[in-house]
Amino acid sequence: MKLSDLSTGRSAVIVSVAGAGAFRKRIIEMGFVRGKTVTAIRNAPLNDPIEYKIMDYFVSLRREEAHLVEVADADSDEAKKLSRPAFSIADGGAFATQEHPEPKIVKVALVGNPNCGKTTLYNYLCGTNEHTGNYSGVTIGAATNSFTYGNYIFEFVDLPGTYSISAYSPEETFVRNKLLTYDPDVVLNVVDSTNLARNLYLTTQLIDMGERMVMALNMYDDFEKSGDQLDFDQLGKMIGIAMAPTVGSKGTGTKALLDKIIQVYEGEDIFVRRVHINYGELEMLIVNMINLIDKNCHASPILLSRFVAIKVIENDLDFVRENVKCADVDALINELVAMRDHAKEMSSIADLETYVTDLRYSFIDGALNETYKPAKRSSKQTLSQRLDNIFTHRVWGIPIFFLVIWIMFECTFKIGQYPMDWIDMFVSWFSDLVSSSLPDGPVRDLLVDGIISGCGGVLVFLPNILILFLFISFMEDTGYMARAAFIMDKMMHKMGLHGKSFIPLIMGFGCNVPAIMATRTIEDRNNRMLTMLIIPLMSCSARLPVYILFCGAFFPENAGNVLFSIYILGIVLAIIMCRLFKRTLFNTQDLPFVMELPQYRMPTLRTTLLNMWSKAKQYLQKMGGIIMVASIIVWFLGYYPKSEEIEKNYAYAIENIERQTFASAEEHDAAVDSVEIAYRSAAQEYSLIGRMGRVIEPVIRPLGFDWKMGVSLVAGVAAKEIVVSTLAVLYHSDDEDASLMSNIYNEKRNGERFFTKANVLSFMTFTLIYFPCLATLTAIKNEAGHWNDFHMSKRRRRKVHSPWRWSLFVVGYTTVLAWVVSWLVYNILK
Amino acid sequence: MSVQDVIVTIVLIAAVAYAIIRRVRRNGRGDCGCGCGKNCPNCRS
Repeated sequence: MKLSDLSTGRSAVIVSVAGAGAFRKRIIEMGFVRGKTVTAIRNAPLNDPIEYKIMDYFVSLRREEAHLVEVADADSDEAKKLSRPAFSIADGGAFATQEHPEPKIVKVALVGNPNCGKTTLYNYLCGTNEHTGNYSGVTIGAATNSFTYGNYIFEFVDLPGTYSISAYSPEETFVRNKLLTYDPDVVLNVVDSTNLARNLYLTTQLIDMGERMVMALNMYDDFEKSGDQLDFDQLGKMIGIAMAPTVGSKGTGTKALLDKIIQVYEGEDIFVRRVHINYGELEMLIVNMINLIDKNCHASPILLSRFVAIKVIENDLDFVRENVKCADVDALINELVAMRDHAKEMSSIADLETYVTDLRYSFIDGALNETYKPAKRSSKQTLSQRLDNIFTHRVWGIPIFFLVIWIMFECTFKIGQYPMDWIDMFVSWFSDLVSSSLPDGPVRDLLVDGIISGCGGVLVFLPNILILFLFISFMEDTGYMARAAFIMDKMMHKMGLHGKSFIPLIMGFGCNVPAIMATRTIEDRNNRMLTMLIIPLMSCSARLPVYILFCGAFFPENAGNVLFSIYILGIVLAIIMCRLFKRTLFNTQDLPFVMELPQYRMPTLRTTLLNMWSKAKQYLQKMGGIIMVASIIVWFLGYYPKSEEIEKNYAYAIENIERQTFASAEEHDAAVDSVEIAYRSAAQEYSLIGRMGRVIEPVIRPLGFDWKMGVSLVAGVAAKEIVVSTLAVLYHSDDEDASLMSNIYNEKRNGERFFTKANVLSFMTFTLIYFPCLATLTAIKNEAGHWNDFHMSKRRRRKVHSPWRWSLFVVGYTTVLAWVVSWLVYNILK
Repeated sequence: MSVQDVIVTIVLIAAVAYAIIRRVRRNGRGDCGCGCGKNCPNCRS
């Protein structure tokens, strides 16, 4: 029977996994091995993918992938016959003792499965605020930090989560290479205590590597609540690893953990030693291989010959080629491969990789059988399962997802409106104060019309940005984001997107830069490239101020709906472009997607507040840096040169008004205002920025934009917040109390309002689509590599050397697309 | 050119210099300009 045929709620035992390559390797490493029980939990909306439970955790598999797993009914004779290899451990000897010079620097690498709480623990230990979330693949690259504890300086490096250290995905290769190059004194293996069996698989590979290890049994509070019991001291003694229970989110057990690390670093823990997992029938082969390796070359001091031999058995020859220092490494590899193939022929083993994985799981089962006692599981559903019944419901799952997103935008606008008004009042008051304290002249104008107006114009949107991030962070930390990927997978798949693209695309709503980096988790380079190219269409938080500004001024009643529609437009365009690129640029394969569905967790107040603080700090830093610089430059370009003729005409017009008699003071003020507006407009048009604006105006006029809007879009290339700060400088009025929103709303040309719903929506559309910011382009350049690295269709393939080409391609296509879509929006609504 | 014009010009030069220095630093080390700060995954790569 195939796993895909297993009906909901029923259990079966795994017999074998068909298929080949990365998918097969990945799921057997995730525990889909012979003899393990798997239960079908539920189908996603649209009937695909399916959620399964295996080894006490939940995983999502697509129907076509589940079809590759052969299972037998749990009560059948076939299931009872499925035996697992015996478990045994051999002592590999103590670690070499070392004298450490003062000051004692302890290099620690955090390694563990995705979503086991490594970064939360790292943040607590180092006092940092790295991005965390309750789903796999949040950490990208390696974060480093150091701190002093007692007489020791701890240097921590937080590595991305990985299920294994085979070379099947970029993050696995990254972790393995980092471990070899960083050469940590101690590897801190963080495991999720509530799912030991699956988490210990990575530990077995680290044991094979011969790493000196301390294990943090993280989320130990959840483990204790479950009623399970673990004799972790005994487990540690058995497998040669020091153990410490921790709760990363609360910091519980972190002191004891650091003390354990020191003990292991100093070689004071006698139980920490090398152990060898017994690979049964392959042990003789391993010994022969070790002899051959030791005879021919010196494996690097941090690389054990035994580990090299195991890598050859697992057919990871690239690793051997890259890391073994030897006169003729290819000859050595050929010899080792010949030995391996010969041994396989002589044995009864059908597949060496599966056999090695089976033995590792036997090792885990054996070690846990002696130390771990699971509590009797209640037949009642857990809270997580009850929540899943609602959020991943076959009918209601997708509407609930859209409702959640809609509520997010509605709250971003509605709740954000109050603090936004307060900040606006403060900016006006401050502007008044500066204006009345300084004498007339360029310095006062620079401060009031340039810096305060530009920075203040952006500052007012801080509450909206924070509310948006609060929602995103809540969805990430609770585990809803993984559910969103689960319920949307089929739809994404139909649209030609890889399942793993979902998380980077969602991250793009925060900031496109980490989203581009997050594509590293996608194994296939063409799929990765495709995702990278459409991420800029995911509207990042920096574009939010533009939408809030115009929605607030022109759609105050329906601001949430308009905001929601803009984001949906971005998603729809991303899908269209994805299909187009897939047909014309990339020959992508349809790759399998396995995703863990974590338990729901309530985010701690501390983490949420720290996240908010970090976002606010970043925003303010950006405001005090690049936005202020841009405001100064834009103001300067809009202020100089001065035309004597315009100045004279202005003075003459004012003089004329003063000579006239008006019926009321209001009439007098109105006359002065109209002269002021005319003067300002003429002076701006004469200025450098006005001249530049006039050059680009013919291109943007069909979209309903004037030169000021065009200039703000050009300035926004550096960072999208600058669009608003530039608008604030260029549309600044003499009324210090007037907000940017009212200035824009009341902007008039020939006595009529310049801004209409048509050109406002066209402008928002253009901002959504056009030219990603420079930081995103740099990220694409770094991540995309060379044009000819990718398997493009033959017609399009050409040899291009600049790594900037992909960034330029994104610039080109987004700008053309922005123009076309904005033109359509403007002309349809006009 | 008035004193105020001179002050404004100095501020402008400082702002442009700051932008250039930031850009140079971006290429060498540190900040890529995305606003993520010291632990930005882009600069770190």
